[in-house]
Amino acid sequence: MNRCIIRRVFFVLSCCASAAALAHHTYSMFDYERHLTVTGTVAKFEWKNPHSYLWVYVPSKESAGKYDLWAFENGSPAVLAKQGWSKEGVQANEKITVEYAPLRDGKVGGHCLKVSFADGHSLTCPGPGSVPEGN
Amino acid sequence: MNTSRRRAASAGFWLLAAVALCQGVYAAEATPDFTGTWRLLPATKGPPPAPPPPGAVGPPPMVLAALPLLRPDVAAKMRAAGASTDRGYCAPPRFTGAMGYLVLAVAKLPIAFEILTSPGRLTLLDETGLIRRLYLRDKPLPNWLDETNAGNSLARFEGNTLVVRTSALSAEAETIQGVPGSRLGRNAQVLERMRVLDKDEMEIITTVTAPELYAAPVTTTNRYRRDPGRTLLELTFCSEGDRSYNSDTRSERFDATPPADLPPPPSN
Repeated sequence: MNRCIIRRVFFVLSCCASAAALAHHTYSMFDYERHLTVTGTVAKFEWKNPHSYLWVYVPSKESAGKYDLWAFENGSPAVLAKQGWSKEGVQANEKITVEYAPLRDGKVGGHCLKVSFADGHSLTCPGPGSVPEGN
Repeated sequence: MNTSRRRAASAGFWLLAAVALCQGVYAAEATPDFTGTWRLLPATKGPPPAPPPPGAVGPPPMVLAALPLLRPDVAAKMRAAGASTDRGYCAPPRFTGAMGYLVLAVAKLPIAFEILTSPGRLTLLDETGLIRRLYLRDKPLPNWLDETNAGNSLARFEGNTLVVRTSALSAEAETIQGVPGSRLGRNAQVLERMRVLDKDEMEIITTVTAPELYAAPVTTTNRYRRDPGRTLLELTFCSEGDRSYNSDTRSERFDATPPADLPPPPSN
């Protein structure tokens, strides 16, 4: 009986969203209604708590030959590692395609949803809607 | 010749008997080996959680409706308080009965942990920095605190099951991270029954009694896989330089200030 109730609790908790999201973060600055894609060159992968950040040089739409620096928030290393990410798995200067939920304020960047690499493999970014239960 | 053979046979017999006796004693005293790094095994798969609705605040009514064991006054308080991005932000890791995971408002987040064994004690350390010491004894240690983040744990073996009773838990510990209304409250107790199912799998049946939170004890069962190759990575929500939170203004942000050591953009 209790087990059934707890399963139900976890099911609903994982199906519902709330402002608490991942502990201290509401993710309200990201627009999860929109999933966009951008391709660029990795500038840096910050592997640290509470969130790792992926910095990407993307060719500028306004100035030919110039680049804009985009920032993508990602999960914490402990969570990322359980989904196949590693510190060495994203190298500076490599080409990647990032699927992301854009910033609501219109600035370049957002919350990472998925990263596709030049060799064809891809990694999912944990966050609201994609947190693994087991590891 | 016959005498020396007889003596050798006799010595061999007594040697074998001694070995058998030692093995018997060892087998009688052997306890399950909990040592090592463990990871939570996924429960029955459900649909992926949905992203939060824009501007959402507080646990949605569906979450509250799914917590029938909450005391009615607690449910009302939780509904009123909603979720906080501030109050739980820098809280230390606290034990609420969840071992190997954190319950968030949107998911059950797996947290790997390690068990160390030493004479009279097992020590559990997880990726959030929680340290639990399970003492194999019947009575409390001298000078144990009245309230602690990890609780005071007494353990004993019942056959192959390690039974752990934990009390003196922090009343501030949030069973759902970031939801102040989900605090354990005073006089909470946790009973765990831990057993190794086979060489590399463990089960923990946990019963949480929290009279200020739940209307009745809540029991959960989780399974874990031993994972000797795993690197335990520190997981903290309270970090200096957090790009997603401004601790001065106590508000969220997206700090896109570039790191100082970025390489130059690609050359065309």
